[in-house]
Amino acid sequence: MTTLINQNPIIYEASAGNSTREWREEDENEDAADPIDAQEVFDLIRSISDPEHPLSLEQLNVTQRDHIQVSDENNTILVEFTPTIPHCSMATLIGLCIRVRLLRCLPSRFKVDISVRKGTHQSEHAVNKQLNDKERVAAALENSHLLEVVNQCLATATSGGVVANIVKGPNPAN
Amino acid sequence: MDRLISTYILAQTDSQEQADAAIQDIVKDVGTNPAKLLSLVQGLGEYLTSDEAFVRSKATALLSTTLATLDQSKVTGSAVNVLVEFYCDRLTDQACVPELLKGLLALSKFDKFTSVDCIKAAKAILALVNVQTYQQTARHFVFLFFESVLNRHTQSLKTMSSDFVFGFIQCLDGEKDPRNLLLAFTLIKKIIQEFDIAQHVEDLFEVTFCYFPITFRPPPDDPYGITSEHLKIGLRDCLAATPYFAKFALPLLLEKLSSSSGGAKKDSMETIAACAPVYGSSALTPYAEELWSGLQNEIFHATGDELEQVALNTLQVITAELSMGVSLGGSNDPVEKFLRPIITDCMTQLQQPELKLAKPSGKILKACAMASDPACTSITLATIPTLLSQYAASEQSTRKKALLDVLLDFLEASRVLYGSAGKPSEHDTDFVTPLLTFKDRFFELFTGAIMSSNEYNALRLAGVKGLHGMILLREFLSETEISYAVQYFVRIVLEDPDTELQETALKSLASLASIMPGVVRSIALPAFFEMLPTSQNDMDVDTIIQKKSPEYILSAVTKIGQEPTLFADVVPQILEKIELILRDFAGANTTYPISLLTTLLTLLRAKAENDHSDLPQYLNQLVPHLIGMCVLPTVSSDDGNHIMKNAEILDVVAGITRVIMIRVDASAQNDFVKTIFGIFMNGDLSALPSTTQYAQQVPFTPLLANSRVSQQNTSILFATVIDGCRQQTVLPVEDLQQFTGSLVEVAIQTANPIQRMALSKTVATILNKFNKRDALQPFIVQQLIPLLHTRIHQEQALFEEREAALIMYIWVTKAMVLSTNAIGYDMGGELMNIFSIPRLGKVAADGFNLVIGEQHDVLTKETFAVIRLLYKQRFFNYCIPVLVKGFENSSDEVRHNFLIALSHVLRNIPKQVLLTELPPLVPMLVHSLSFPDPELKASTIETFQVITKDAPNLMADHLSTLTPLLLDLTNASDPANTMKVRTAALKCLGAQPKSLPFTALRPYKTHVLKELEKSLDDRKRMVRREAVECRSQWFTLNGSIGSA
Repeated sequence: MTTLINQNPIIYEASAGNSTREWREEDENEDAADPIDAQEVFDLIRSISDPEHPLSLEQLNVTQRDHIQVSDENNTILVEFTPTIPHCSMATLIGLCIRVRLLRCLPSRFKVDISVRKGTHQSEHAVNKQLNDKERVAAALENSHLLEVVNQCLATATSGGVVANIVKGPNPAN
Repeated sequence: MDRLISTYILAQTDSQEQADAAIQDIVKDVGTNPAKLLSLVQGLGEYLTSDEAFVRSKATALLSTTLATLDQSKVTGSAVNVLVEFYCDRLTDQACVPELLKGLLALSKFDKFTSVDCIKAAKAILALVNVQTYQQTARHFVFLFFESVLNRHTQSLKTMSSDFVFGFIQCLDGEKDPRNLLLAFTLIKKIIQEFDIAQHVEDLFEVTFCYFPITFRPPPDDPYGITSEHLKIGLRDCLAATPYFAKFALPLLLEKLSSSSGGAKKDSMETIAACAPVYGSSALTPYAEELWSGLQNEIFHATGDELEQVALNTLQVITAELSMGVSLGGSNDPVEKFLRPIITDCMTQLQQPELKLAKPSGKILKACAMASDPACTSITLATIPTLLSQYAASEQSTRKKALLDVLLDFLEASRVLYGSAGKPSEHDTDFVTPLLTFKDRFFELFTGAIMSSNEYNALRLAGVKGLHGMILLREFLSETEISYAVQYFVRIVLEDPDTELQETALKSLASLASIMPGVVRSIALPAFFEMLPTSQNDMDVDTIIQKKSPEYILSAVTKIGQEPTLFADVVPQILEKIELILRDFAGANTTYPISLLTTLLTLLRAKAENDHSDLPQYLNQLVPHLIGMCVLPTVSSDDGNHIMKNAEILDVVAGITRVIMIRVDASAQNDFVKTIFGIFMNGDLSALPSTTQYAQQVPFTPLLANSRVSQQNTSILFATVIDGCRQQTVLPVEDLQQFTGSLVEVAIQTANPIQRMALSKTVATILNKFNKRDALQPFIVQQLIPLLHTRIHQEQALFEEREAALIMYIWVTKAMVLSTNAIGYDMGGELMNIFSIPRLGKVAADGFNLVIGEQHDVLTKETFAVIRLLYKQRFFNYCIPVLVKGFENSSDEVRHNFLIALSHVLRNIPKQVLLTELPPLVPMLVHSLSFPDPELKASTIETFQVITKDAPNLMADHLSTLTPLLLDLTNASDPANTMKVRTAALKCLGAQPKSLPFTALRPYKTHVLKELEKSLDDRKRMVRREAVECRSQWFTLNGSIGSA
């Protein structure tokens, strides 16, 4: 068994059910536009699984709705995430997963910034720089092994935010 | 005979048929005359002693096959004797051994095969045949032979004792074929059970255990159907067959437990669990520590839920077995010794209960505690006090919650071990749970958690679950304590703002309602009803904000009110509330009374599903009361608005009537129907419970075309009653045809759509159900159809009347199609002729949905309609060619109606039929996608989705046409692409990567991904959600390829 970076993390309750979004009447209205908001972005990333544990990012409190800011009219999104421990070497990988997920799921008009939440990681600056460098992200995804790991983490992600089926399997990041 | 033998022997390998025919003739010959057996052997003589091995073997084969197919009663005892002797002697002839074995197997099944023969044959085989040098079939004969003799001659084989066991071990040694192994495993088990194996334990173990763990994987087209699971279980049964294996097996199993393969681990654990009860506690004790350290790894670092569960289960079995061990002075008690490190390890983890490893620790303690009374007691005493003081000391609510979760595990363990409340106990009632000592503390803790004003709901949730868990324990809480707990639940349901908490508390109440209805009846129900508004004032918005809405409370009532005693309380309460509304706030809206009635309906449906026996009695108690409430307001002089005249209310009352009516027998139905006819046909209201409130001032004539609309609407109730009739129930009318005809007339003339629909349904049910032996056939063919036909085509008549006639026509078609009456198909064809009539054409096309679609409220199986098997297929087979032809010969506008009808038919047809008939229809379906009719589009896309999933190859053939079309349909700027169309198109596209081969989709991948990007920015969130799913599917198409 490979040693895990964080053997015994704290587990948080993931909100039950599909999404914490309540149904509104205008959802059925053909013409009423529903702007993209923080909840929607959160729903996209909360059920991504952690590369180390068979748990979702939401259960590990890596992502929180309150740490996402969205402006639909200015086409900007800021996602901040919190690594489980300050020396977590998985931080970049987690950030990359979020990055790829949003690249695939959001319209390209948005400028998406992804960063480690201030003061939660010892090398946050370096991590942030990597995550927001388009070329480095693209280069990372050329690596087929890495891409496979990312796809595996994303396999559990669903648009409604429900964890489809977190597959407990051998640790992909060995 | 000689001729046949020589034909057989000389037959070339390529004329196998000839040889087979010869064998058959010989067998027939010998079968009729046993003396021929002798001449067969004599005739074979020269061949059996031939110099050529091939000839000898072939001759033996002939004799063996004959013996195997022969009727054994024709063979004398001495013949068997001689044959056995003969066969055994020849076993030295290696070339013939496979055939000889076959013959011995055949002989061993003969009744006249004596124990002397048996020992002779067994000894000869063991001595002369080196089993593992022969091919699989020959080895199989050996094992089959041993199976046969072990089943029939165990006692005589026992005289060989040790020689036999040893010989068998040698036969098996090196066997690899799964078919042989599966057989051998059952034989080993039998040998272990029947024979003295003391001297061969180790040999026997080695020859068995070498197969562990089974790694066999059946070839993809395995004709024998042997799975690795079969072998695993076979082997496991052997290993668990004797305690003598313990000292050899346990160290090796422990070793395999630490292997890296998940399958081997699982197999090891399951085998340990199977062996533990056989090996016994004294054998397990030396390995206790190692077992724990091996198993804990599987739980703390579980790689899958399944493995974790197996590990926990194994732990439980071991604990249970060790508990039976003899205690040699307190400290050496095996179970105590086993549990000590487990408790220490788990308690260390539980010092930080909010971390990941705490949960598995709780599960471990639960599994061990569930194993036996001593284990449970010892764990409880060792851990609960610490956990309780830890709870008292912790401030953090997350930590508290995690600790409560562990206590919940203990409650669950106790319930499994010591029995549940309200269930007849299969458990030893002498034992009581050790948790009893801590009952008061637990109660205090859980209620405290419920009352905590903390924001953290999970803690309060754990409190609710804890109280519930305690109530469920047998002989645990006193009645007073239970009623306290129920009060807590009631308060949460009625007052707490958090929905998850409410739901959990309500669920607890619901489960208690079935095991202890008394306390729910005396505490929960009255509290709920108290909260329902009783006056106009109560309904005002201000007061409702503080309280829960009536709908919410009523939905709570539906969860708990099913049990007969509870339901008997609910009915009068609800009726009383409705009376109150009618008297005091007549102007109020209908939502509240509808909820009240729906509560009854939901409860009745739940009762029907659970086959409650108190259901029929409500036909006379409840139904007339409700019908009276609906009918009486329509006969007073004032025909103003009245709540009970509302059509929705009538629908609910109809639902209630149906659910009860279809569960009473024919004689009760006859009486009921008589009363109903008295009311609706003759206007005789005396049967209804009279109230002084409504004096009858106008006659009640609901089935006329010119009566009051409010009276006409009540025909919904009449239709329901007729629909609910059993086939043997008699309608109290003199002339059924005339009666039906009059209903048809009214349905066409009336301007009231509700009445028209009700009467159309009634006519359809009568024609479907009471057309016994085609009694109504002449009426339908000679009167009804011509009448409707004329009315539909009467061009100068009002459109409404023509439409009414058409609707009636469609309903009659349905009635006929359901009973596969041939008239139905002609009528279906006639409907297509109407497609070209403006406006009526669309109605006719939509009629196909009614004709072949399932109805939930009328003409159903449960309401005794005549529904023949495969009626859909037969209709489908009839109308598809006609539809296709009609489509081809029509103008564009009319084509639209054909496509609509087609989509209705396809949507309602069983999938298997659909898939076989689809290929020629695809072009028509593609055509449908370009009509600007959202309903048609959506329904067609759904058909394509079914094709994608179940006939991927068909879909693949049409990708080049369909992919661009589907992508177009996701375009939000076209108003015909409604939300429904766009989501359906995305769903259909998203289903492709899962079902279609990568090679078929690859050419489209880049384009699809690009086009889907637009849908990511759709103005509707629901569409975006589908787009995200769809795009993810396409991204992971072939996994490794693809980038952002």
